[in-house]
Amino acid sequence: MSELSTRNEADEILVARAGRGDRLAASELVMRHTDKVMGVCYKMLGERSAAEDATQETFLRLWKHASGWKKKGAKFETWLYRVAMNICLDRLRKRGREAPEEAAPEQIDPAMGADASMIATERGLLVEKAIAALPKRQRMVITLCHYQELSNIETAKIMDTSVEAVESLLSRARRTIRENLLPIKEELMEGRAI
Amino acid sequence: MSSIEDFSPDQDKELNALLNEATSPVASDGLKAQILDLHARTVRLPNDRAFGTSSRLLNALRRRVVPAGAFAGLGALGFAIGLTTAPVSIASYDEDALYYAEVVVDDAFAADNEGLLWAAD
Repeated sequence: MSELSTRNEADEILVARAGRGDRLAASELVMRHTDKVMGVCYKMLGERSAAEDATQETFLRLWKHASGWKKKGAKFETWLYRVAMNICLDRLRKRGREAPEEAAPEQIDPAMGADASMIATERGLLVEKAIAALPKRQRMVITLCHYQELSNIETAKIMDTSVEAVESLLSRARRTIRENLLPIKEELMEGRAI
Repeated sequence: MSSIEDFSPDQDKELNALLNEATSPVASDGLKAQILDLHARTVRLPNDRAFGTSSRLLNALRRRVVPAGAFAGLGALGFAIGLTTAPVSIASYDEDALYYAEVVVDDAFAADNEGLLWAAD
């Protein structure tokens, strides 16, 4: 099979081919999905090395199940995100045994944003910190709906919950982030102009 | 219950802009190579799989058939030994043949030993 035809192939067909040992198909899946999976894992775990480990584990599960993978209603991408989310939740649970994870969201110190030069370089980190301070399920919803631009229906499938629950979680997550970022909003906005 | 409509469209846009400030790391080429390497190690090629299946079958045969074959070989050896020794022992115990065997009496011997042959009577 040529590289060009592989590039136009649907995910589901590529998975079946990868399951038969086709390296070209596996490579195309890696090109299409690694960054997205990495993004999800990073938003959930908040650390690059942990996100890389979780991404590898997600693909390892994909390769293990590729030969028998069957489309059962959900798209391949939905299945892959679900695997990634489950791996991240497992890791957060393990971390939680060491330090309680679902503690009250950490408030961001407005003083941190006082220096304009620091704001220019750190504003991304401040937003990330606000996301990391969210309870797990709110973080999942923000990650999937906002960053991966998935619909509420797809997000509900990944999280194995109702669309109404997703809407509610999303609303609460956005409000919490806004409340946490509000004290430094002006600095953040100024920082963007720099 | 609150909803996303709690925000004005401007606030909503503002929040989206803030959220987009978060960095989104991309996977390094090294990570992608490692993932592909995992594929090569995890998913075996069909030929490997066929070879794996046949070697598993051979192993199973070796484990089950070889001991049974050894027993069968020993049995056959015993049977062969039995066959070669059987005629001797059968002849020794063929009572019918002994009972009905014709006794050939040499006439000359009978003539010379007439008295002896029937002396007992």
